[in-house]
Amino acid sequence: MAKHRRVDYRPNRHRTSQAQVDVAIDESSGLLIRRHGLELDIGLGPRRAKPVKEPWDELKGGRVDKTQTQTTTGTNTKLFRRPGNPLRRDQKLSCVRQKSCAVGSQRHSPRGALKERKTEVGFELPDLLTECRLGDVKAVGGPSEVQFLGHGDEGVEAPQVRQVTHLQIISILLNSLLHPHERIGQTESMGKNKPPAKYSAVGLLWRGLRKQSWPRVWREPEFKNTYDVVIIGGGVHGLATAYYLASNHGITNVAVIDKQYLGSGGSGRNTAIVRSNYLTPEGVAFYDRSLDLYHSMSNDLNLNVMFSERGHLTLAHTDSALRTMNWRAEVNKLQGINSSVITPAEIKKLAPSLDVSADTRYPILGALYHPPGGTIRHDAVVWGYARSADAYGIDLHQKTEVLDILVEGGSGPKGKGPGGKVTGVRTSKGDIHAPTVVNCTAGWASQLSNMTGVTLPITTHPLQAAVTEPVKTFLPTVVVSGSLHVYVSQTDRGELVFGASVDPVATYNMGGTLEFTEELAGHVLELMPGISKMRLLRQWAGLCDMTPDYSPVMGPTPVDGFFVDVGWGTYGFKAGPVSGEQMAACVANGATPELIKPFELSRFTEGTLVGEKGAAAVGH
Amino acid sequence: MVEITHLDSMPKASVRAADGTAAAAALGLNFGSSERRGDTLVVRIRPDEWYLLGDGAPAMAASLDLSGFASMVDTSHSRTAVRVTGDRAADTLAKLGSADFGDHMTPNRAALGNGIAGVTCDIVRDDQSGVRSYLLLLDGSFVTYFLGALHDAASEF
Amino acid sequence: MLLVPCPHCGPMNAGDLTYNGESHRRPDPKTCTPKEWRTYLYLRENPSGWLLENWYCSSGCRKHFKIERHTLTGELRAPVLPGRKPGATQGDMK
Repeated sequence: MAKHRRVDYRPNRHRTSQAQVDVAIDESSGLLIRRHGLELDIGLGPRRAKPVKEPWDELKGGRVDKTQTQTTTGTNTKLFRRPGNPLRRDQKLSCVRQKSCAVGSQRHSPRGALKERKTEVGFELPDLLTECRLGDVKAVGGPSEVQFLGHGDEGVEAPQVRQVTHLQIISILLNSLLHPHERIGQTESMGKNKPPAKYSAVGLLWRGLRKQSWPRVWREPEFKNTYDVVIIGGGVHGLATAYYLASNHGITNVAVIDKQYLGSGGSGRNTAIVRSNYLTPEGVAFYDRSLDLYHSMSNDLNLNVMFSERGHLTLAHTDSALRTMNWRAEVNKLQGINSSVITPAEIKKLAPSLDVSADTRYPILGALYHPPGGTIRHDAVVWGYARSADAYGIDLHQKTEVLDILVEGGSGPKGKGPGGKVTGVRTSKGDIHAPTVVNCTAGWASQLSNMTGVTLPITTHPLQAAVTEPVKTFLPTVVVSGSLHVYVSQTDRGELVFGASVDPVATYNMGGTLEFTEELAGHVLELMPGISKMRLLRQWAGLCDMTPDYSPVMGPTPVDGFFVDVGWGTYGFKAGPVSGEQMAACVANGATPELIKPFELSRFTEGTLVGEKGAAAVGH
Repeated sequence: MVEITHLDSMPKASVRAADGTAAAAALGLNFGSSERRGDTLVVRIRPDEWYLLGDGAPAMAASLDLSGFASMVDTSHSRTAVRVTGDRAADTLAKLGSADFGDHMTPNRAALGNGIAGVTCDIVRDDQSGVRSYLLLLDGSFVTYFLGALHDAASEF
Repeated sequence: MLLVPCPHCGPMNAGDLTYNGESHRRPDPKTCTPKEWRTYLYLRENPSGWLLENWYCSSGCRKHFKIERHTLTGELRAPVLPGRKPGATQGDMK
């Protein structure tokens, strides 16, 4: 059993037990802990707001930020929020789980108004993270709130990312063997348009022998005030668009702007699965082209993206799911995609750790097997595109936030809106004049588009994922279960990566929840009971830009010069290369390519939606 | 000790009545509370909905004045009832739902809606001669699964 | 997850409620154009900040209500019953 410490405090005895809660909070002071103190005083008494005197107010003095208090005059509800601090890198990850057992509390008893302060239960998260095995994740009650900041990639949050490939690791080892006293990691300057140092075995040996280290992978360019094209969003989509603009169309006066570091959004948070076994002919054609590009990517970009074509299994637990699998298989075969439905016995052969017995809660009746599917190292894709785009002279501006998009002549307020024309971008580093702006910002797409007066059919939902400790390889394929809302793959390091469907409530908050962990553990163990002793290493969330038809929005908008490549929802990574290629063609030629015609923004006002939900909702 | 009983044949009627109608006045009660009237348990389960439960329910339902914006539906066969009785009844439900089943939150006669084991249930605290007891009303089609889930949760005690 | 205060039932776990997204005024289907109707159906402001939303208390009182929620911090303001303006006093809950 998990060693959860249960701290139960009530108003009459909170002094002693609250101290325990505060210990737990202190241990996790770097975490954003949201705590809602809520008191409803309904009914017979005078209707006025009554601030809740929180026990920790007395004990902790000024630790509660009163500015966060929200009061609506005249109502009898008062909400408090306790703000947190961002996690520092040197802090150990720990957290407090809390619960407010107030559901059904504000009832009227026959005796009159019932007023109850909440009960809180605290847990120490170190147990969950380091000691609790998958099989032990259990909530002792209902609503919970856990917030871990950071998704594990904070280590690369430097303005310039130094990538480390296998070759470099060997090179560094060689270096340290030959020159044990030299400092490793010095950088060389790299001029504009000078091709990047080629990664090769000979180069590795040469540099190793000469104790040379590798140059910085991309420049830190000077901020210019004029570009031909400005791409907002430095993820796979934005960088691929920039790269193909330069390589396919010769447009190199391009800036890629990102609020944070390259690959800090969905590109570094996805579960790195690629496949092309979609349901609609539009979807199939699109993702198949993407898979083609991924195949040749390591060569094209001269960077090992570690594409592992390990096969992709989508499990069917019901007759209707099996029918959809057959449908998908036939659509795929017609389009020339390698995809077929296989039996439980064949599944067992492919992935012996799956429980295919008939007496489980969700028996595995069959699966759609897609051999070309697999995983790719997502960071390497981002870095590969960034490095190659930079070599073409494209400027990558990190830590540059877009404050406004400048539009003239539109029908809306301030000259924005349909009919207008983009003139530039206002950023935190200054204004940029540019006739073309491309929005590749995924979860933040609505906010950027709203700056031009274009409203998108998008809501932002977080999608959570988690990773276990590394173990020996035992899962040779990617396993997906739509009914159980889970997908699993094993990385090259041996960690199991889990993903789920998006959270139902739209939010820009990337905190994790214990409910997710609980559900995930339950569902994974339904599929693979044998891994109940594995430990969860961490969990994180990324923002997904969900559209009503689970298909992307690509191409021009009613504002001239403003293009969007958004709405990718839960599967933007696998489409990165092809959407970059097509968007580059769209921007360069001024006409929407045939492949992305079905995904234009105008389909929502014309009512010609693309029905991809069957294969895209939890189809990773 | 937890006792789980499936009350398959208990007569049930659902009355919906807007404020100010004769039926609403006759049934009364505060939202979230219940009362035993003879052999009928009257529950105000929602702001505008009452349940009449037990053998006296058909007679009481028939006697209601349903003039105005009011309606009555016999749910004896579509909804089913499960009674969970015993010292650990609250603990059993707490394992499956998010509501607080403590005395201070849900005293005897309290009524609330909550998801129990993923099934939306209407719950009435209806103690039986001093022993803690809950009456759970749910869609009849879920009851086989639901009894299994309750049994699993209660088997610890 | 969130603890959403239902105007009737008090604080509820968001999992016990149904989230119905941004609150919009529905155009009159008899008189609006297809474009207006599709705009109402599909297009969303999706702000990062305060947003008036529709919720349905599916496992509690089975009532619809509106509530303002901050989509970044998760803070909630007082719930509003249908037909009332945000910020108005809650109804008399008998």
